[in-house]
Amino acid sequence: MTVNIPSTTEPRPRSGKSAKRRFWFRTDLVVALVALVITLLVPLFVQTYWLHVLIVAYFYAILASSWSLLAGYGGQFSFGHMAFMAIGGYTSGLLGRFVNLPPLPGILLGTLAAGLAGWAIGALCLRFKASYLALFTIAFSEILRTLIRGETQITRGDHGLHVAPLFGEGVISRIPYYYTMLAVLVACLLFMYWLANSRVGMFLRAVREDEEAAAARGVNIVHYKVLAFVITSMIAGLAGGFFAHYITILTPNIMIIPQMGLVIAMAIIGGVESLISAAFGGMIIQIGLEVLREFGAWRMVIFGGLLVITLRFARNGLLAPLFQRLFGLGPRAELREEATTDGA
Amino acid sequence: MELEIRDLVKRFGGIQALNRVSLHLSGDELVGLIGPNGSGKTTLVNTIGGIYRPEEGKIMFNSKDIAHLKANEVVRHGIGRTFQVTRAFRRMTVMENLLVPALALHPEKGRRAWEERAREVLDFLTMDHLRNDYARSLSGGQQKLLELGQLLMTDPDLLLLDEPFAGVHPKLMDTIFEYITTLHAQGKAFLIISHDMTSIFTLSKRLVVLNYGNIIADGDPEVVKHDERVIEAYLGEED
Repeated sequence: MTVNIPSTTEPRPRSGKSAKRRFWFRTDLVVALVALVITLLVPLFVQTYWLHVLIVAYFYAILASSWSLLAGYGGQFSFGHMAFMAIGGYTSGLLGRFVNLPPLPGILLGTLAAGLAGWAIGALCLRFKASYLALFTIAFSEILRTLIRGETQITRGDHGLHVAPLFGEGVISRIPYYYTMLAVLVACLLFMYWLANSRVGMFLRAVREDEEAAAARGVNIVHYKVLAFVITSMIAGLAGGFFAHYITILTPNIMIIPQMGLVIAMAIIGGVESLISAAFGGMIIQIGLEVLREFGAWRMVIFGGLLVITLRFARNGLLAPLFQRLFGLGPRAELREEATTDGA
Repeated sequence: MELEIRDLVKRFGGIQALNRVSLHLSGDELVGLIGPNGSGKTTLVNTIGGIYRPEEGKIMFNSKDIAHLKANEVVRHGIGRTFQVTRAFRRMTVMENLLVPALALHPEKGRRAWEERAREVLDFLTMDHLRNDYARSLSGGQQKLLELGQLLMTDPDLLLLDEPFAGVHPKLMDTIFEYITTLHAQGKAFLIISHDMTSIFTLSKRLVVLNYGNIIADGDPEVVKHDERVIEAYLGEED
């Protein structure tokens, strides 16, 4: 039975908003292209040390943006992101150590291992309220860290697991690593952007808004929550794999809770509901931490203060409103206001 | 359409919210469900809609037992529902709000086709000019209409409306009333919870009255209105 809804026969007027959106879309492309050209030319102008800082910044940008996909789009607050990153890195490192697997297949298997762990945790606790996920992932991270520290015969614990460099021992230059990490970042951002704008992204936002209402509209909420968790875990694992084969040594300290807090701060200060803003948040804070190195532990206080100010006065981050104003990127102005009033 | 509820029991701890409720709806009936606060009306709708699992009893819809299905599975069988307090996806656009149920149930039709359908639904609801606005920016009445629009996207056989007139401007209340009448004339079945006595007595040809989880009256509104148990339990409150 179909409802006989009257249909308009006149051509639909094209609203100013959609026309504006197309204009901004072109601006998006121009901004993205300019940013890409600049990042491609960077190795020509910067010293090796700053190239290293940028590689690490891109690594954190992947983590912050994938966490924003999970938390900002999907409403799932996880403290396990660094643990999944570590699973990716350690899986690849251990496969290299024990079965001499080359880095690329190792990274692939590490990514799959992170996804499998994400699926197991998601299937276990994503049926419950969001706070359970937060608590569960804290416990999971600490268990994994303790396990890696304790099993020194396998993981070498706090001594650190030596991982083969991605381009072999002979390559000292950071430039191949720079372009590799940049390529991984761009690929991850493009994939997440596509996902966020697909029907899956729409369902995730619906689940974030109201789980019961989403279910009443036909959305299988557990399925999409687990899917988002698995995908973001795999992205973290992928980043971890490449990072491990860049720094060539892994210790359990990489997944301590303050490290996870740093990734969350990056996403929140950038803008948790905008992938690109969260990515830039990751980059800017990582670079900022290096610039302010002489301040020692005080730089953490500075960024902690910035986080508090962001949460109090700019709930959708400091960069997202800026990008929206300048380039039309990210959520619209009214959403930012709502984020402020709703506490979302 | 045929909905057969048999001996439905729902408890919350020691509270028996539904006490062996049996109800039968068929064809294109428009049934009003009334009762004092806490009588179990919303619990009944939530149990039919899959939000709650009943402890006992059966809910047969078109000869299929849907009592233990999840909410997202119930809606696939052709039952759509609205909420007492509107639960549109506030930080999503009106268009996205309509696309969610459509793409969740029938992704194979594709987004473009569903957008066309959404424009038709919005035209019907005279809300097409609001399609790019966020649901949060709509008035309470417009959000009620948006929820109705979400149901129309999936074309259910039975619509469960929980307080469609509550907190709505009188003008919009008339509009919602008209839409329900139009859809009913086109063959849709309704089970409507309402505290708005004027509207529900005008709309319904059959009224069901719940009190403390029990059905105490079921029949013609004029007969129900004069039922002593109903007066005592519900209408008697005014005295």
